[in-house]
Amino acid sequence: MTGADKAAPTTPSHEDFDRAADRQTILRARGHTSRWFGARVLLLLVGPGVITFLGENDAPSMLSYAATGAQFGIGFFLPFILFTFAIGFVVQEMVARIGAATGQGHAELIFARFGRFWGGFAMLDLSAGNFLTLVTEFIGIRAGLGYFGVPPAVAVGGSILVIGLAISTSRYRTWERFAMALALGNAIFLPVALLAHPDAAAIGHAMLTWSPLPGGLKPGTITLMIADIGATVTPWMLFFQQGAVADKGLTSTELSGARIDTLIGTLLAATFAIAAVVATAPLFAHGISAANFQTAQFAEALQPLIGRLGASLFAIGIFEAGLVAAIAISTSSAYAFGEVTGTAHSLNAPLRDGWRFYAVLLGSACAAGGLTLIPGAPLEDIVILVNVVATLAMPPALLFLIVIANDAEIMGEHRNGRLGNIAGIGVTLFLVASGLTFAATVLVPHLFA
Amino acid sequence: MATINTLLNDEQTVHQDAAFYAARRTMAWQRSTISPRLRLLLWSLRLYVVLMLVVVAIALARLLQ
Repeated sequence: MTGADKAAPTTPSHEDFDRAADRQTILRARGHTSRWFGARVLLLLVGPGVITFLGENDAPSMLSYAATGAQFGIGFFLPFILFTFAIGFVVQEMVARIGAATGQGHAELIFARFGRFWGGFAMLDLSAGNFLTLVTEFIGIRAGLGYFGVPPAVAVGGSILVIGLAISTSRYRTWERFAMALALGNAIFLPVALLAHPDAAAIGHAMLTWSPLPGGLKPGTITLMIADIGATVTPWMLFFQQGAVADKGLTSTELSGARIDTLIGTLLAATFAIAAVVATAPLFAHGISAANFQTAQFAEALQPLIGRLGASLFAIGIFEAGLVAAIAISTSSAYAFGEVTGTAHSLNAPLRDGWRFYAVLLGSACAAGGLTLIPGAPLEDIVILVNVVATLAMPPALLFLIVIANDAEIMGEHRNGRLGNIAGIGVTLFLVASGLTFAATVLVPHLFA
Repeated sequence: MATINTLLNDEQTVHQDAAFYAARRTMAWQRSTISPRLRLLLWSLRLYVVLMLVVVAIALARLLQ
C-alpha cells in the first residue's frame, strides 16, 4: 500500500466520477474470461505510454533520424537507437510507476517534496524546453504540409484547431483515443522505409554487430548522436506521462498494465524511428550530403530514390509527428501549470472548472505556432539543436525523478529497487557525460578534428 | 430485478471509486528533508544546466553565422 492509498476522504468532483466510470469499464472487461476481453483490457489500459513515446517521435526527432540515416547509414546508428529507447523505457517506467502509485502529477510531487525553490527550477526547465520544442513541432507541421503547397497559416491554424477538437469533449478517454489514433500514424515511416528497398540481411547484421561509426567521432556526429538521445528522453515526457497516468485513473493494481503500455510505446516508437533511418539510408549509399537538410530537402532528395509516393509519405510523416507531439507537449505544459497553481488539471475537467488548464494548453500551442509564422525567422536551424537542449536539461529532471521513485513514504512497496536505481543513475551519468562531450566539441573542436 | 441490483451495485462502486480518486488527488505531502549531499547534487546539476545553456548559445551563434 502506498501513502496515497491511505489518503483522507474528500468530496469527489466531476473528474473523479469520470475516472471511476472508466475504472468500472476496465473491471467489467477483466471480469470476462475470454481471450477477446483480455485484449480489450489491454486496449483500455494502454494510452499514456504509447502517446508519450510516439509523441516523442516528433518532428525534430524524425528529422534527426532522417539525418542520421542519410549521413551515416544504418551500421552504427540502428543499435545506438535501440540503446536510446532502452534508456527511454527505464526512465518512463519509473514515471508510470510513480503516477500509478500516487495518482498525482510530476510537478505536484516535486513542489510538495522539494519545495517551491527547487520546484521553480524544474518548472523553468520544463517551460523553456516545452516552448522551444513546441515551436519546432509547428516548424515540422508547416514544412510537412508545405511540401504539398499548403500555406503556413492554414497548416498552423488547422493544427491548432485539431488540438482544440481533441480537448473539446472534456473527457480524458476520448482525448486519449483521439491522440492514440493520430499517434499510430507514425507508422507511415514503415512504407517509406519499404519503398527504399532495404536489405533485410544488412539491417539484421547492423542490429547484431554494432559497426564502428563511419568517419569517427567528429563534432557534427556527436551533435547528431546527442540529438538522437534527446529524441527518446526529454523532460516533457516525464511530466506528461505521469500526469496522463494519474488523469486516466490508473492505480497500483494496474501497474503491470502501465508497464506494458510503456513497453508497447517504446517498441512501436523504436520500430518507426528505425524505419526513418532506413528510409533515408539510400541518400548515404548514393553519397548525397544531407548535413543541413530540412523536411522539404529530405523529401525532394528522396524522390528520385523512393519515388513521389515515398517522398509524399515522408512529408506527411513529419507533419503527423509534429501534430501528435504538439498535442502531447501542450498537454504536459497544462498539467504542470495546473499542478503547480493548484487549479484543475485534468482532461476530464469541465470547461468551467478547468478553463485555466485548457487556456494554457491552447495558449502555448497558439504562441508557438504563431512564432513560426513570422516571416524570415531562422527557425529551421534550431530544429535538431532542440533535441540537444532536451538531452542537456535531462540530468536535473532525472535526479528529481530518482529521488521521488525512492521515496518510501509516497511510493510504499513500489519504490525503486536496486536494479531500478542502478539503471536510473547509469542513465543520468550517461546523459551528463554526453552533455560534457557535446560541450567539448563546441569549446575545443580541434580535439575532435 | 438482477439487472437493477447490478446497476445499483455499479453505482455504489463508482461512488466509492470516485471518493478514492478524490482522496488521492487532494493528498497533501509534507516537504521532505533535503540532505546536504542531495543539496550539493541539485546545485551541481543546476550549474551543469546553466553551463550547457551557454555552450548551446555558442553553438547556435556559430550555426546562424
